[in-house]
Amino acid sequence: MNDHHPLVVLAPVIGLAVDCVSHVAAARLLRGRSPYPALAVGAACGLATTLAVTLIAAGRDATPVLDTAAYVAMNGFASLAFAFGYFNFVNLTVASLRIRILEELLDSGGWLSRDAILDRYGTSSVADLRLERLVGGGHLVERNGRLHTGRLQFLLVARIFDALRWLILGPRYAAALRQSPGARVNARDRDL
Amino acid sequence: MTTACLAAGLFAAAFLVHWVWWRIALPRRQTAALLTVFFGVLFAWLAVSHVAPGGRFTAGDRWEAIHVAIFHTALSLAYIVAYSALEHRSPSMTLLVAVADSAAAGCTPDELRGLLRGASPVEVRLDAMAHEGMVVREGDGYRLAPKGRAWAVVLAVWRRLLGMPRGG
Repeated sequence: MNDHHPLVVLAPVIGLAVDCVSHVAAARLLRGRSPYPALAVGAACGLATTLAVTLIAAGRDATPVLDTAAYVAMNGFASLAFAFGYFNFVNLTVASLRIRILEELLDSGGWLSRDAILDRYGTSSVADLRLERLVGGGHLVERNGRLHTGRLQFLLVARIFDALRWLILGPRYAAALRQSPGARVNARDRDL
Repeated sequence: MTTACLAAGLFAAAFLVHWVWWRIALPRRQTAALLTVFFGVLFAWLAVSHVAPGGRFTAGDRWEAIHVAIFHTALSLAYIVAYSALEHRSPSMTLLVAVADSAAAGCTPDELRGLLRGASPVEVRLDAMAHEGMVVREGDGYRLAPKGRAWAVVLAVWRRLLGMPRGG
């Protein structure tokens, strides 16, 4: 066993710890702005730490170049995966409607009527908010009162996810998801 | 190099088990089933590595096993998080795809609002949270369950630590 090999093994975990600490520090320094730059700073610090620890520890142990490259690739992927998981955990607090509803329930003493919850998040406001964001971001463009496709980045992501659904969930379920949200819930229930 | 091949092979094996299961029948609790598959495969491999170390498909020593386990855990959690986006298409993606599918004709804002009217995103989430035991239906409302309370408290504390406003 080489002296520094445990550091190579634990580098992604050390990187995750650095990601969390540097994100919290960056978020407090950039308070009031978008939360995403602080997350990017944290992820970059975590990845840099992981790669640096891997390279230095492997170098100290005189690990062959091919093995060092394999460790760097493996730890780099693991660090990015941890950063993605952490990003989604933090994003829950920023964007999740579920967490918002849970916090509303907590603030209301643990109980709220269904009507009160639906009043706070009406379907029309959800649709209007999305349409406003998509038009504002240039993803949809309005011509003669009708909306058309604008920028293609989000649409490309949607198509990639459709392809993955087809591959993983199967053609029948993927087709059900392409229908309206109400129809897809029913289609899913039929499948179970 | 062997460690990287073992780690990639183990993740590929877990993914294959998941793919075959999903193509046969979708589990009712998909996230729980994914956790079972990915971590079940990992623990089975660790057990085999403990019994027969140094084999062609098993870890040579404790540190190699830990290294593979860290890699597998990171990628499995990332995949399970990403999977939630496969399970449900977001309202924004629903609107974008509907407009793209309408080709040159485009859609009116009312037609697009109608797409989201079929099932209120809030109702869908309330039903999902009741199914997952986060909230309990009580009378004409919802009561926070211990699991939901724990999530709300942990995330609210984390949000305050970061100095962020309430989301959603």
